[in-house]
Amino acid sequence: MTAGASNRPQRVEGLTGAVISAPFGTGSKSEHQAVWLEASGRRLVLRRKDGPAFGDRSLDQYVGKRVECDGFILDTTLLAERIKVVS
Amino acid sequence: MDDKIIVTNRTALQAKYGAAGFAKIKAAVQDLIQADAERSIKTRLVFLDSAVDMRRYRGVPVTDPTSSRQNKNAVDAVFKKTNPDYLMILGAPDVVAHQDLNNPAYAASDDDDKVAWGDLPYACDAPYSKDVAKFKGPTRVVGRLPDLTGAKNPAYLLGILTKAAAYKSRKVTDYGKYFGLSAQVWRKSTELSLFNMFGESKALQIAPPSGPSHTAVRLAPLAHFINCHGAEASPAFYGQKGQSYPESLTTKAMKGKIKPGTVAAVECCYGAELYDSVTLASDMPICQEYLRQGGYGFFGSTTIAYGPAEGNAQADLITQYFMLTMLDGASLGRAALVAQQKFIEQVAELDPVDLKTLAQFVLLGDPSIQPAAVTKTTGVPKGMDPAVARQQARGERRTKLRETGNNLEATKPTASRPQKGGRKSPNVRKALANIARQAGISPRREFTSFAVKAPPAARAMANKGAPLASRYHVTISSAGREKTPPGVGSRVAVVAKEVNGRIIGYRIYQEK
Repeated sequence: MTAGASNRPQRVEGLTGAVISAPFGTGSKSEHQAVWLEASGRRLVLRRKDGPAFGDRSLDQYVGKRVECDGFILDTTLLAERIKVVS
Repeated sequence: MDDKIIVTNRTALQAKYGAAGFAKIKAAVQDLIQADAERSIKTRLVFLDSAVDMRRYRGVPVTDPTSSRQNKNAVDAVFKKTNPDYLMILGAPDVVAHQDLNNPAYAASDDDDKVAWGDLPYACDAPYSKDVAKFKGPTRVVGRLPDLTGAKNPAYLLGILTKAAAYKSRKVTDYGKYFGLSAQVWRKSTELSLFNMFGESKALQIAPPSGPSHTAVRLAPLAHFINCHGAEASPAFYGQKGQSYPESLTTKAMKGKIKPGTVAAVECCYGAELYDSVTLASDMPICQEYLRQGGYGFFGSTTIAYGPAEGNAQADLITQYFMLTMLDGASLGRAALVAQQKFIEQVAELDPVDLKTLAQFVLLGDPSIQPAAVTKTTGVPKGMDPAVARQQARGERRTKLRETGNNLEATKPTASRPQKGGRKSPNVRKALANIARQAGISPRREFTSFAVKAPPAARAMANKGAPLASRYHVTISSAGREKTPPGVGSRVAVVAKEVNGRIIGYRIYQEK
């Protein structure tokens, strides 16, 4: 793995997956209840690109649903520019 | 002999900024070299991708700027030949890679950082490895002056190079006042940290309600200490009270309020992550906004950081050690090295969470900057060139730091690799179940075992009264503690220490 990979956002369009609510960073300094997207065999913290990283209540509406997203994938996070419920 | 080496990658800088931008950067580096010379520091710029430059050091030129291995090998070649007092890495990780150390505390869905990015291996003689346990004896003074990841315009880098060249040491008393900021849930821990550094904690700001906007007067002190939440690629830190996580500081809200000379020690997760704000079209990282406004240094974490619920440990300690050493008159780079060494010294063995902490904290800033000047008790006799005397004193300090690092390398036990098929005795299983119960998680929760690897010197020093640990057992659980609000403070990480078949101690991390 190269170090640059961690800093290079990867643009994605139409990424589909299931949204769940689960803890993040257990026992750490960023421990909190996060919203996650389970897609393509991996789990990413789902955030709105222009939304707060913590406590973004507007994401609650997607929990338990399948969504399609456009945005950027980082190491462990999807910064979504568009989220659409697909079922 | 060169006192300070600046390493960077010409090809990467040219790809980012073009020939004209690169020429401006090179001129700004020359200005810094000139300014260093006026401070009696002989500085040389080395392009790690240059065959000519690397031939001088009998090294192999870097062909991929994002290759951790290539950059480590090249830096090691430079050190082997010149052993400079300072190493300044010029550029973000897309110019000179961070090192890609495996995160020993990695646990999918709990600590998702597979890699604990950082610059620790650049501070060590040990060859390239992904195992952080190989880098427990840092000896080199290292700092990184980063440009913006993904940038096309060199203005940011030119600005911070100019500021580094123009730096001035101040009286240590100028750093006696602080800006302290803490999430409300970590108030006690932060108060203790501030007391340890400044002798009181009266000026501590608690979030909420404090932030994200702070007055210029509040941010005016030159020493900043922050213990808040942070997140990947986020230009904000967050406070916490119960389930409320309001912003406590943002890049936007800091604009125009950071005084030149400010030094920040920051515990927040991802506080020193150099994310690509250009591609994301977002505000730049808070750490880089500090430098943009003339801050001298920022010591923080690239990934998820740890600390206990009460008292001080891990991130609390390494940041305090940095600040205290800076206040003792050290250069920023020496303060970072001493912080790493003290952090290693203060534990009997480095457990997986300690090792991640060591790997992830980085210094952003020119390592040769000495923010606080402290009056020396040793005088320089007439006829002696003060510059020569300073160089001599610096050399003596480096020798001492090298001895300390070598001693740590030779003696400090580590637990970085999960033990495959390691069986636990019934006594150990019972003790772990009890600890799990105490932490509020299921007693059936599985613990991962890490065998302690002790160097021969450590084994020789161990005695019956204080035998070496044989294993550490770690679990990071999402199961909830009772009587806490859902989603908050309901997850814990437990690290238990086994000696000769008995669990003799444990630590629980929560809510930090």
